[in-house]
Amino acid sequence: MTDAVSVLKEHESKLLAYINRRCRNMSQSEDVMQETLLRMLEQSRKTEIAQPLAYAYRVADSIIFAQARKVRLETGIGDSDFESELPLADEVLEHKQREAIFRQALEGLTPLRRTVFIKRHLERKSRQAIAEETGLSLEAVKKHLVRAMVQLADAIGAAEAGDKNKKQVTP
Amino acid sequence: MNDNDEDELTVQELAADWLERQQELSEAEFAAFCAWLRASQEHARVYANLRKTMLDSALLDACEAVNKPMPVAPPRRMISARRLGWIGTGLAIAAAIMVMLVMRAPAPVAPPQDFATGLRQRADWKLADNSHLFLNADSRISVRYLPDARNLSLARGEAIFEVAKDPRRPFHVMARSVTVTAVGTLFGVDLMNDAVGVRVYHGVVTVAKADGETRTLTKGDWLTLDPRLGAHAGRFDPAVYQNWRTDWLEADKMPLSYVVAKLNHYTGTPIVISDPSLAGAVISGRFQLSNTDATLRLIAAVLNLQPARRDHRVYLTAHRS
Repeated sequence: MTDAVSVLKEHESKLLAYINRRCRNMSQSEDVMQETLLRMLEQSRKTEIAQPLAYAYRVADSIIFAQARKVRLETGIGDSDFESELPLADEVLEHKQREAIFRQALEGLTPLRRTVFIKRHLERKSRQAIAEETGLSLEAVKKHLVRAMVQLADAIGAAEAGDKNKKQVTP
Repeated sequence: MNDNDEDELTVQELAADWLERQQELSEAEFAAFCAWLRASQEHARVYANLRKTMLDSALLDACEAVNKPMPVAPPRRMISARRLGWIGTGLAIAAAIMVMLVMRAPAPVAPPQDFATGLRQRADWKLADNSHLFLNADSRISVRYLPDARNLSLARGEAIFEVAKDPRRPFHVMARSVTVTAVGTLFGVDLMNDAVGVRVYHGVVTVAKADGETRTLTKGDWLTLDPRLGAHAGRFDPAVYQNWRTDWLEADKMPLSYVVAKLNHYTGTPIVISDPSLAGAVISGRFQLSNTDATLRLIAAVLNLQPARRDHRVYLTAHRS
């Protein structure tokens, strides 16, 4: 039942390195690590975790994000988002570098799309409220949102893939 | 990606839409989402990548930076420096003394620490004050030490505390709505479904309920507070202290529901009492918790029960012939 956690123990330094890079500052890392292990333990009681390390990365992401937003993490994390156990690449750029890439990508969006995305992601407004504020249709708000998300994911994906290739070239 | 394409959503856009609506999905929509996710590795990969991006705190920071392009207000340091000029020397000295006091005061307020064990695991820890914490299987507790109190909160399972004496900092264990307080003593707190059990192996503790009623327990006393069955108290042999560390449960007319709650800390196949006629059943005996199957067979034989396995659970009903 707790096999997933013992597997994680072996990869502790790898997980900690990941958390260090994902966190805004490193002083949070130990806390995030501890919370990640606790949540893994709880989840491993309910289900078998096929890819403990990949799963742990996702749990850590949720925890870091919740802390950044200063909201309490909803309980029951992991039940919906972790349907896919696919391992992700663990190459991650430094927080500052990622912020710069996101900033550039956000500035590359059309002003309307950027406004819609920020109202949703930062201000946590509903699609309906955004539609009313901007005078857009609900359908248009949805299109702007999904396209902004895709553009942001593509930007960071390209940057991190580039970083990975660079690392491989110069060992 | 073609921005003007009005009809077909790409896989990435579909994934983004699912992710975006994740918190609002109805049960049927959630099932559809799971089906979509499982439909192809590509779906799963794209979704996971988007999720990673959207949960990135660097993206939040970037949003904030883009949202507020104006440089932030005047530095506060300047203002306070200017104000200091207005304040007399006496005040400045007082401030300096205060700063010294603040700096010299110890900072014993540590962030809460959580401890947990998995199924069938046990563990013990030495806490900052040299108290010992023993956690039984499948248990979770959070520990917070303040300058004037040691506060622990048992969220699940069972714990035993060997408390280091410190009269200035009482040792409180919160379990459900019950608070157990000790100064220097050896005692255990146990969550069995909604009931809270307390056993004192050495010394004295006070037990306070949410309504203010308190009781004092001494060595060899046990007390169980159950919202449905009420309060029960009795005596036990403190020498059996070692029992829970050896996976044995000593039950003396113990409600079946408590025994089942204890067994469930040892098995991945939860046991459920599904027969209302068993609500008042009690059982006595010595049971090996780690061997769940054998214990369950034994209990079933003694109480004439019929265990039925279904959907990763074991349901207990009274035997009807």
